[in-house]
Amino acid sequence: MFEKLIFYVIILQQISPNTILEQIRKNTSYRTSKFYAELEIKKGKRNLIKLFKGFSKVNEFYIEFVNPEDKGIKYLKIKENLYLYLPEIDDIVRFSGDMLKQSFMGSDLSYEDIMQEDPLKFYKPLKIIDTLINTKKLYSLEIIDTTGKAPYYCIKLLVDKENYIWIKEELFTKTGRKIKEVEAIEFKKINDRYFPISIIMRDLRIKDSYTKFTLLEIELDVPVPDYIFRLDYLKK
Amino acid sequence: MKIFFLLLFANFKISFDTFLFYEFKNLNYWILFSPNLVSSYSFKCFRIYFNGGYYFIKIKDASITDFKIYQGYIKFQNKGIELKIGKMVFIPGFVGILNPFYKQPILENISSYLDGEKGVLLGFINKSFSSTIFYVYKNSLKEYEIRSQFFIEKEKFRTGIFSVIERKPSIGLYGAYFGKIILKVQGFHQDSNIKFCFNLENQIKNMFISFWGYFCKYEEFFSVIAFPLFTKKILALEIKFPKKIFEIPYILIFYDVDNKIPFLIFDFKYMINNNVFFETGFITNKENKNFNFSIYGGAKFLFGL
Repeated sequence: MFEKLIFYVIILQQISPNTILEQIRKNTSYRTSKFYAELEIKKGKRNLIKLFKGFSKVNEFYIEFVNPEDKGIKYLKIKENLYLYLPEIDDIVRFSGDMLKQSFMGSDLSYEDIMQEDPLKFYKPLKIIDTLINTKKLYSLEIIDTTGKAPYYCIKLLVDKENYIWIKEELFTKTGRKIKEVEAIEFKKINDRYFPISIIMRDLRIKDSYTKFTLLEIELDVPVPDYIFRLDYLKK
Repeated sequence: MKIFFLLLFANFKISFDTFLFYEFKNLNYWILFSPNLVSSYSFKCFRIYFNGGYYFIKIKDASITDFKIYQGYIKFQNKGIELKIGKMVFIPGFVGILNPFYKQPILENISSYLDGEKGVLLGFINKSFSSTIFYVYKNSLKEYEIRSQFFIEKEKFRTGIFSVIERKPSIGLYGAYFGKIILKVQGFHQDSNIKFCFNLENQIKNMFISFWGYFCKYEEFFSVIAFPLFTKKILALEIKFPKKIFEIPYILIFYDVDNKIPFLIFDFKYMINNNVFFETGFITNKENKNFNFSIYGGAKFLFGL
């Protein structure tokens, strides 16, 4: 009887992969955001630093570059369309949805990577393994896209058991090829959850390069006015 | 104090551009050196924009030094309405190398700037339509041009109309489909000349490929850095590599159908950091079974405040 009880307690303590994924999503999803960020693009000995500020709301975002060399360049995403404001012609150039798969200002990140309001919503867990790295207890969680809408087919996540935050992601194509690696190096507690504010992404197809994306300031689920996501605001 | 306040909201980009072009066939060359300033200042609904500088050009037997303002205007914008006064760029239709109103060299380089026209522009934009009217001031009040444009946008489609009133009115139509493949077409009728341009854009792996076609009834002037080109028909293939940021290749193959001359341009930009860029490339064409070959190179030193 006692042994049976212990067995049931163990079963109850085993958290399901779905619950872990839900917890991670809860930590990383947001409806609106307001941010000021730095992008460091490194290739060999050369690096570029770009600064930008912006807002996002569900599937819309607005980005404005503020470093002197790129100042005035602005991006606006409305639904599946991307609009680019070029200060030298004081006009807007429109791109279609496929351009969102392109790299963001030449970095290892795509527009989709930085502006998904809930990046893991298309995925279902496939398998989970308990693992231990440097005395840290982690889950190794493998998730796959079941909708065909996600930018990557499969993701292998290393998840902190304590706070349910992902500390490393490996991104795979449908053919099983690992194309990107993302490492979260800094977290911030925002509204009772841990949010990654500094990540390093490596596009494994490009040698000796990485992109460090740091949110210098971030506010989540704050009121963001609708007029920001209008074309006339882009021209202002 | 006022100057400090102005500087606080202003943005300055100072660049020093150098460029060398050499044509092997005629042993022609030109060298350009140009310090340039781009500045913008925004406050509430107003923006002041300036782009200009000195340029020094040395050609084989001559040299030119001058000061030029490429653009300089004051803009007022309230919600979707904008009013601009000064020298500015306005390109009706779609921006691109073969746009009938995009009077720039086919190959832009690190030392080329868009040259505007003096006038007054009144525009309106919202999510589904945009209208613009541009009064272009020429040499005197008697010489002017009025350009207007109106387009509507719905989901993946955009369609528009534009007109130019100079001596008599001329009219143009354009439309685009923004799907996985982007298709843009525009046609313009002016003084019994008909101009038609189409552009098909697609992203294939890491390349952004544009296929262009340009047709007109009478010969038009085009410039490919130093080559003047008079033709009625051009087909072009433009290949960009948007994922590249430090080493940026660019390929343009075009065919002057009228004169049966194929051109190949290979351009390569090399970025050291935010402040230093280099550019090099070559242009080759085949004319009367002979190959012509030109090379060019330059550097830009950019400092932003």
